[in-house]
Amino acid sequence: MAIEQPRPRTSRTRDTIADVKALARDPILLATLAAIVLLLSVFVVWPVWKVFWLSIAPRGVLSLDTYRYIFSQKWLTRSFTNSLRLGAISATTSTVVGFIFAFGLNRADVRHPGFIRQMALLPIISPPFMFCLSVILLFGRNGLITRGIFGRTNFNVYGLWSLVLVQTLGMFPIAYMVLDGVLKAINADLEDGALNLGASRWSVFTTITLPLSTPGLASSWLLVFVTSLADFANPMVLAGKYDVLSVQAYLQFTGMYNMPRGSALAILLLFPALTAFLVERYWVSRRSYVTVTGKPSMHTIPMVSRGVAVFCEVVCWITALATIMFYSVVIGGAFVKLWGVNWTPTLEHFKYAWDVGSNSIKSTVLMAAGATPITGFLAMIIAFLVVRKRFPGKGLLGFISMLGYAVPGTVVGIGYILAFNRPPLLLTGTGLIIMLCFVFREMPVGIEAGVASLQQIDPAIEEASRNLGASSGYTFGHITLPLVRPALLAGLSYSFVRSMTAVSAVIFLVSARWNHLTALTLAQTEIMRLGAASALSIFLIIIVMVAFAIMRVLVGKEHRPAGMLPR
Amino acid sequence: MASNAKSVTLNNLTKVFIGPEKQQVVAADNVTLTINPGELVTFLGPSGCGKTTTLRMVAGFENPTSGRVFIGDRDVTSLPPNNRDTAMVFQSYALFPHMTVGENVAYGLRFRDLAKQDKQSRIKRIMDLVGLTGFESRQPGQLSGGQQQRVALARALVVEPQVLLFDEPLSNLDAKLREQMREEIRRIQTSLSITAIYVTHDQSEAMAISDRIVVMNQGRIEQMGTPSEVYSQPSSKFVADFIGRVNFLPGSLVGRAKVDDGRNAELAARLGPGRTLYDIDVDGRRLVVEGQDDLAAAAAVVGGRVLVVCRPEAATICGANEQISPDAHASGTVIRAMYFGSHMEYGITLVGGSVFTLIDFNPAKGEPLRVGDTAGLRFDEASLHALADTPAQ
Repeated sequence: MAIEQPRPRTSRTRDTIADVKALARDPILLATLAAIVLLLSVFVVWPVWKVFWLSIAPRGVLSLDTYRYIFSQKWLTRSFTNSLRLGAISATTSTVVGFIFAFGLNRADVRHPGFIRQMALLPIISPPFMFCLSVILLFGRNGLITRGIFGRTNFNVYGLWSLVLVQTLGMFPIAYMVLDGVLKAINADLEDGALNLGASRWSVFTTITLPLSTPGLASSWLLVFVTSLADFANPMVLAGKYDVLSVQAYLQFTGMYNMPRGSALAILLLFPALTAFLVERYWVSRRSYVTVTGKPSMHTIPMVSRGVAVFCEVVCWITALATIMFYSVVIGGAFVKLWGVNWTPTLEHFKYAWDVGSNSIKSTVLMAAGATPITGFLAMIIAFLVVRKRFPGKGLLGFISMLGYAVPGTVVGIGYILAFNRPPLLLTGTGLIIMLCFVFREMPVGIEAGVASLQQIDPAIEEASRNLGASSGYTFGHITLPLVRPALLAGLSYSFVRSMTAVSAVIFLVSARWNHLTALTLAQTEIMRLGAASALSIFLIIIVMVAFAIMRVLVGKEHRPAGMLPR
Repeated sequence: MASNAKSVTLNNLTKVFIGPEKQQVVAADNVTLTINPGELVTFLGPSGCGKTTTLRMVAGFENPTSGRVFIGDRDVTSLPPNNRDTAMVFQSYALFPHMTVGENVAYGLRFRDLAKQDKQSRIKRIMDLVGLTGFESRQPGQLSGGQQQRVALARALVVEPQVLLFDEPLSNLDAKLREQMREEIRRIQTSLSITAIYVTHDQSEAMAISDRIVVMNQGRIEQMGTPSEVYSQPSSKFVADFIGRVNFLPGSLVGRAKVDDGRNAELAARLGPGRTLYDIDVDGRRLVVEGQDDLAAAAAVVGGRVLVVCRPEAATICGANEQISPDAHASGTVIRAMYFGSHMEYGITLVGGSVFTLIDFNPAKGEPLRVGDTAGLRFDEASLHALADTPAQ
């Protein structure tokens, strides 16, 4: 039985070969992997490549004419710098507000923390145009404040600062979620220790809390920056003369039918977004000081002075009240005849909105609800492969599947138009193209949720199943999926909401037969039928709330945490 | 069940990982051994010695870089874990948190072609055996650590595997429960006479439970033998040090001992195969110590320098201060004297400067020594063992 074998001097290649051999032994894994790679190539990589190709080869041969033209025209280069400026300002304000919320809730003991937290998360599920509508209703020509209180009808609400306001209100929750996690993860013993060594509370903040939060602040800044760059809905309505790339690319592509120029502008948008995303993912997040220790520790003494606590409280409440006011204004706007002019209560906007919108509502719900389970299933498989399996090219697979975060919707929308307009993939004008767009845009959310929950499940649980005789497929279906179900459903409800509220990519893909509620809302806003737009937004809010309620029932009671890795 | 027991053979099993800094980590290095049917063999070693990796290669969770794994006559090297017919008890128990205790135990039977009644009778028998009858409908999260451990054991046993694998199964239990569970595991394993591999870093656990122990270090097998062999005849300084407590007395090899006088002949008669008696000079005193046949050759490489392995209980006090007996092998100053009830432990600085640990199992007999006393020591030559003083790896 003794086999003569030279003592192996393995190398990295040898290891890869061993991985490939292991793969060959597991045909289900191999087939799954091949299918995933094919899907990602066709629906993520290929469309982006088409956009890029059209921008550098407008007539089928390589030429930089399009870019040369763009950089020679001031009105086009300005939209590039405008986008960056807007992104930078909104990222800064959102991060500041997000940090104050996180700090207030975790360190300064603001009152009614449950309510404040809800208000910090509400904007995430808000329909697009929601805050724009409110700003116009409050500060526009017939604005409640501008005209109603100050009697001004010439106030120009359109421009950079309105955008900063709505983006900050809409995007500070991103910063809040990142920083809430960071502050929660800082071991309270560190701050107690500094106090114990004689530091004042202010010194504790500047020498311990703030430095430990720095990577989180950078992460949150970059994430909001990417989101602001990709934002289409707000600038489309509120930008006025302040041109930004996402809107300009849309106008050039669909309005002027200048597809190469639209593509080039989209690529110019992709470039800073992708850079910021990569910096966040591969540089900032690796510098995180967050250490996970066994025991969560709690502060027993207040960590801030009275003045700081009051400051946090005031900022939180102003922000929360602004959100409430903006919601109320939209709801109010849907129930009066003509805002600012005729305040007679009416339901005619709802009737009109239903008449023009009922088909869109049905198709939107159908497409989002159809895409969501597919998203969840694909995301879960990819998360499983990335967390649990070894195979060559794993890093690349993880990267491509997360690209949806970084690629602005404008690029995706243009890419889908360009990539799927001829057989065998003639999809333009169908509901399927919108569903596919949802699936691959929202997949990263599901993957993140899947990865996070898989990492908490002891791999030995799956190994035990294999060891007792279950195949890898059976183990995935009967052990892994049931265990990640709660996290998965939570991720899915979020991705459903995002599909319901998507604009930037969908706006390119809608057709008369397959319209999206947000595209319809935009159309109504553009013709200044603000009452109808408000009513449509309310429909959207109701659908989203119902979806969350259903999801809560579906998640049911969670399992006891036995078998979860200690965190 | 007994008929199901199979041998396990590992042939030149090697596993190389690529570490986080892209460096190669040899987790298992040419591991070759055979485990007999029905035997319980322990892989023992410090963390990172390759014991768990080797176990996982037997289970099929790791693919060896080279080498083969046989269960019985069947080469299982390229079989996936679910086709190997091993059953593992995990360190974390790995109970399925979304299933009841009963469902956990029955899980492995889903993949075995058995009549329903057979399955039920097996489950019943195993639940009896581990003392969990009545707990079937509980959730694993409602059980204590010891009970979870029993569920894990029952779940592995119920499939009647050819080989039972244990990956540090007791390390999450408190000391008292650990001793109780290890006795129980041993009782069940012998009563079913099932082949078992048991991974642990706890040497007393290994001594208590094993037919044979495989001591591993840095991916290699340092020694394989019965508990008493690895304790009394360690093959290296590492093994001597890792198993139990030990004193190393540096000495030089004089040569083979003559076995003509009565005492040496008596020592020689107790030697196992492959072992020889040597004369060794320790601090000017001549000791007769057993060692491997090739000790002389190994020691020659390092100028005849050897280490005499002396366990703390293999030396006795022979007189203190002015009354040190003339046949003492060494003497020194007591720097530590601790009373443990069943025994007394002394630290004695020898003339050479090293501290010798001595355990006296009869503290009630006679006057105990105090710190500062000078003590004479006499080694029990039959319990000593010699090693070549090669540099430690």
